[in-house]
Amino acid sequence: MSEKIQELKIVGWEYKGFKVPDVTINIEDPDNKRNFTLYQMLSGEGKTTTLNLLRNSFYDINNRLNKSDIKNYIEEVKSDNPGINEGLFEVRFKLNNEINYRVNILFDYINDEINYSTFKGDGSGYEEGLMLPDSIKQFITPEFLNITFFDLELTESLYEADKQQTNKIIKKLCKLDYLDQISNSLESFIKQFRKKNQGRLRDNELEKIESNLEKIKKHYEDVIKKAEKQKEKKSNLIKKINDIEKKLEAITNEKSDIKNQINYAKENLDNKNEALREAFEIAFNGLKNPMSLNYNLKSELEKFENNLTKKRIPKGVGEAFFDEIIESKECLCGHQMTPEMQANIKDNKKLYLDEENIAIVNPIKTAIKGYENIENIDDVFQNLIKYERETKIAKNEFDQIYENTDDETLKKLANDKANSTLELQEIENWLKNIYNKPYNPQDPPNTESFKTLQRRISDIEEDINKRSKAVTESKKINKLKQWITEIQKDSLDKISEKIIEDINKEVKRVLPLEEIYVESIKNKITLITPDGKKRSGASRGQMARIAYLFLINLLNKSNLKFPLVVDSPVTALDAIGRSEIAKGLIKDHSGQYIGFVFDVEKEQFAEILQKELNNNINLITVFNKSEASQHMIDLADKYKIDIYEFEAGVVAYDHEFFNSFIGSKNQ
Amino acid sequence: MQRFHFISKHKNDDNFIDMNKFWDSIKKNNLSNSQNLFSPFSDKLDLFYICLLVGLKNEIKDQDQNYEVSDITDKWTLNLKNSKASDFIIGLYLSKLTKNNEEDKAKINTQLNTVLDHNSDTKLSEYGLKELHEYAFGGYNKILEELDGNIPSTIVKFFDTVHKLLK
Repeated sequence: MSEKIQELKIVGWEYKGFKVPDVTINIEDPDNKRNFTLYQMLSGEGKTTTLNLLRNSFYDINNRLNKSDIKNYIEEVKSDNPGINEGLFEVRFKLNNEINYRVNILFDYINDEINYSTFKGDGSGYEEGLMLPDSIKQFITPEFLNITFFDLELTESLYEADKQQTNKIIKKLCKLDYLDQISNSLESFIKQFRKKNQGRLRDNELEKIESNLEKIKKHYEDVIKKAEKQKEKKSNLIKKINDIEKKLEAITNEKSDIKNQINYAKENLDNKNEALREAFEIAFNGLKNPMSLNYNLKSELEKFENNLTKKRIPKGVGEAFFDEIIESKECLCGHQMTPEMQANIKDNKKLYLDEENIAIVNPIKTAIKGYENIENIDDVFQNLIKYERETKIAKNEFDQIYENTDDETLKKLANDKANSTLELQEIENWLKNIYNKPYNPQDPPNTESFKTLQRRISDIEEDINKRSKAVTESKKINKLKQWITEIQKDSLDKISEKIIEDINKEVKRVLPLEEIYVESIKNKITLITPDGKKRSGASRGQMARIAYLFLINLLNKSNLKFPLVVDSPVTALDAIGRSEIAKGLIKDHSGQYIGFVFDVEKEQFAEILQKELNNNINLITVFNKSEASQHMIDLADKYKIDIYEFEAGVVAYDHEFFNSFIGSKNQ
Repeated sequence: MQRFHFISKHKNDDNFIDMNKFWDSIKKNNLSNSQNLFSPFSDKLDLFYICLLVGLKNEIKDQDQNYEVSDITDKWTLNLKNSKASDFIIGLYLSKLTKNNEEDKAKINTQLNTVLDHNSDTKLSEYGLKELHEYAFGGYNKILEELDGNIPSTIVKFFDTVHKLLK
């Protein structure tokens, strides 16, 4: 199919054999003019599962995960019914509002395998595998899908440097990755050139060295891939730990004895942390007051100040004084001014301080004279290690409360948290090590140090170039590659500047109470205050609002209108944030939007969308049928929803039902 | 406009830890679950100042031309200004500059006028700022040397290292 694809819209999906009930969802799009859908599910009933299934419908999961990860993923989603051996997720979408596609993901629960098939609606029919049109495929990478199928609870990832999501996405969307392809072609050219020369030369070693180079390059690529996976794992672990903490808090709030112990340990930990923070402040204050820190520095500064005072420096004579004399007919001494005298005064005036330099030297003298000693500053530095140790002990005591409790759930959660934290630390250390460890020729062949591997590759390449008489050509190719890299960098910088400008234009509207601006989107989003000071943190709501602006701006840069599917779209946002996000989405996002909402997320979001869109929106509610959901079934029945359409779940498209739906019985 | 700079790269040494990377390891980070959560360092100039202090105290200048640099800021931060740290550090620099000419008033005046500039937000002339960077980069290398060429593992480790170099 050669037609240029400008828009992709999801028109529905179907689940069979998952934890989520077997239901079919239709996304209506009358006259191809309905872009907005809200999909309401209760917490724990499959919103995130659905988001991941949709995401995996556009990028073959087998290319992203290894066998063991796939096994874990299958465990996560598969039905609890042991009699079910397979799961099927089908997503339906249309291209340019006409050509219909279906992608099926088949989960084989017995062999732990995932397979794809594609049904093209343009007449070419069924094909095995995920066979998307090239014009779609060229955009789709895991990074692209992470932002188009976005979990707002993972907003933090856009603010993390090691995720490096932002640059990768811009490069892909703005087709800057084509330049990488040119670089690769140049690399292939030099390889071919070397090979050609190799035939003419009698160097038996060359083949061995070439093969060694390929091995090291392969190993280096494997380490890069491993690092990517570790970063992904790190991000998931952070989310997992946050979730566990929330659960722990919820349980301990119900148990007063544990709550008291925790409060005590927490207070102790907070105190120790505060002591460490204070000690850091005092230590830094000490560094800012070098006269307190070191007797020799104090003496030196005092001697300097005394000497200046003794010599009456600075003297309050300004440049204007000398200029006036130069221009006078007579000198101060009464002699007639000659050109020679004028030149001398001009040369020598610098011996006398400019009046304006008084404003620099006098405050220095005042600061030295009036310095305030910080008592026992050396002790503060000595005690830092003590404070650090006490913080660690307090943290251990805090963690041990959970370990010593009789409550099994609590114990399990605490264990889980401790293990996850340990795993997180290991990953962080590994990442730090592979990137920062300096080059060491003694490193073993299987080293994971980036610097050692890069150096080895460049040394061997140099050797091969010399042996295969390709030094000149290789230099030229490297120069070209360097230019390409520079062009790519400049383009990326310019595009990023434009995106930042566009985002910042909207800040007053979406963050009216406290303006926070985007400073940079290089690898991660960094923020500044209106007066240009770095802003090291922001509330989750503020970060989410800026993330929205970023995502919408990015997607608008692409020639392809791709759906923006967002899980928990307004979680942690206040009323203003919610309504401004809703208005901003309508104003700025031109493609399809699907928001996966909790029942409690509707307020100030769903109602604004309905109002602003004159109800041209799909409002879909899905819930499991169970004893606990009887009140929801009754409510659905009241709104004349077909509660018997599906065996295990209910799907409702009614707007009023959507607005009335609440999960809790008591509310 | 004159500005303060960080070393962003060593042209001949890929393993050199640049000041930006070093800064990342000690700066305040509200999202961190390490000591950086309590770090007192919030401006890049804080690190520059500490390196400068170490360089001046130990009288080490680094005139290596093989650095690529990146901009930090064009003025002293409020924090360093209000605490008078910027006055102390310029005083210390002037003291090093003039210490061999203590008795020669004219020479002192010339030296002060050569390195100071009331029109600059840094208070220093182009020459003065250049020399200040030499001390700061010398200090940075000294700190790196103490840390075996690596970033500090914790904020405590960083303070401990700097304290040793200033004693």
